[in-house]
Amino acid sequence: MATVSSQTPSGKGKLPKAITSILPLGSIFYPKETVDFEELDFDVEELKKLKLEILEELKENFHDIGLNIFKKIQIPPWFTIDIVNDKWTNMINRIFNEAIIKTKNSKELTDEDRLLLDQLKLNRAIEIAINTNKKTILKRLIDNYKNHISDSFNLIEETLYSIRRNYGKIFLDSNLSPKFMTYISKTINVIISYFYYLKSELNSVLSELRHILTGRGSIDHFKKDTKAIFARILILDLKQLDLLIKMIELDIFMDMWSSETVEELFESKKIYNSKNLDNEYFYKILNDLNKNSMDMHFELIKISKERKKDFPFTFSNNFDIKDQEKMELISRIIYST
Amino acid sequence: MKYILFDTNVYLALIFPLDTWKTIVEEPLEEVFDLIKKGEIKIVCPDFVFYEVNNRIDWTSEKFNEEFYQIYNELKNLNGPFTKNNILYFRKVMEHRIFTIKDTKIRNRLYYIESLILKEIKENPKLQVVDVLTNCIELFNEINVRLVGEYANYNIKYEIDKINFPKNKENDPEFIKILDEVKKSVNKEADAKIISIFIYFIRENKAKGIVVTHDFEHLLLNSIALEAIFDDIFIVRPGYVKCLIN
Repeated sequence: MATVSSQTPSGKGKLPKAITSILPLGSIFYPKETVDFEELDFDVEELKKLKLEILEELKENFHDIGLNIFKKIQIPPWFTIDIVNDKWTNMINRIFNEAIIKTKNSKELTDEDRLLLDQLKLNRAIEIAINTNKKTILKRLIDNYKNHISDSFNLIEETLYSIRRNYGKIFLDSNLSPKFMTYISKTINVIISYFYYLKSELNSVLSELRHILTGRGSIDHFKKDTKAIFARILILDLKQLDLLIKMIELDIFMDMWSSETVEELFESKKIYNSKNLDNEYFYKILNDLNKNSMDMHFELIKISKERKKDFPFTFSNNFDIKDQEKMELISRIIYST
Repeated sequence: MKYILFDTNVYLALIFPLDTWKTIVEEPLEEVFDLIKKGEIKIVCPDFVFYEVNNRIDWTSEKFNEEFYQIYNELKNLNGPFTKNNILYFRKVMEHRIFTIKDTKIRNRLYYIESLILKEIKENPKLQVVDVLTNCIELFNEINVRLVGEYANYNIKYEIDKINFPKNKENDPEFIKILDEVKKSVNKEADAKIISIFIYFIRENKAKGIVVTHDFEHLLLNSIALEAIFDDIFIVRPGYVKCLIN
């Protein structure tokens, strides 16, 4: 499943909107039962139930990711692993419990809830259309969902930009190695590329669904196509997960070696201790991050080649024209380096 | 089947905006595009070139980040937005930095960095000094790392395949023999290795090959000597490719 880390410096202490918005994206490609609903219409309570399940799963996953990282990384001598484990558990509980209480107490649907709802409805409608050949509900949902795809990806992109921006501030304020900024930018870039690719696959699925509606496509063909898409996405999703875990590892390592007391551990920081971070393990994590991002990049090239599509998110096919003058200046900087 | 190998500098010219060689290296690619589509020729690229191109993108980014941090460090204590006083201080800082640099290339780079910051200031006059600078470093890195994608798109468009050359093949006596011969004419270790991998590859495939480069100093000046030893390859400037294909 596609997720964006909540443990990057920017997201510390709260769940980014993108988490709840992008989590269910994977399930659209190969219709399967997400929750056991008999009806297509979901009410607020049912949606809450699903969101709570997602939050519980995320809570458990993040907790385990942290504990596994602590087992392998170098912990500063002024902390013990038990102290680090306890603090991590408390922080994860606090963040997710707050989100769980907020979800339980919410009375109205938020924008992200509506997106989630539409995704669920579409999954369900595809199933119904496949099983019963009823296509009327599907048509309405496809139109709604098309609009939401664009909003959803804008939200993800914004979140990623904000994460990168925060890392940029950390780099400048903390005097870290220049590699840090380079590799973080590459990582965010490849994740954005992945989401562009995902968007393109989603649009292919919707086109295929429209073909079914007009009678030009067959459900068998749709099933075959979505299965192939799902297989492609699965490979990239696993690579993205590796990348995100590496980013969490980097974040945790930076945090631990910049915290002098338990109270500071895993709390938001503006400045990191560059002297403590000028060590072999820090560079190892950075190099691993670079390696993982390049791995994912190569996988995206491979898939783009197979699909005979452009590699997504290059400035030649996705750059705002109003920034052309800045682009020229940056090109001159690059050329004179 | 004929194989074409592009030297790292050809790829860099293709992907780096404003590179003076850009149009010169793009032209032969377009000229042979049809033949690539028909499968009559194939562009190949050793892993080594692939990593060299990507390392160069990283290096460019790291140089910028290092330089930009120094500028940031001198400006970070300025309060508020870029008021007239803050701008005058910024100008002083930049002038001092440029004054101390003797290398024209680095000086030029600093001028462009200064212009980029000024552009950002004018676009966001109310933004805090540190935020303007954060915007600049973010934008630079974003654009620079997108070159990785530009490179990928050339690979997709021209159906460029990587040459699989595992480490253990470096110990193959045949490869060692080729490398030793190449090294007699090519001083640069990396260039010698790239050409040797290519020769080894085309011999394995019993084919002919063309190495395309615009590096006069290390490759083109020695091309005739190399071609006399290895008659299965040509080492040429981009403009010759079309002429030598048929």
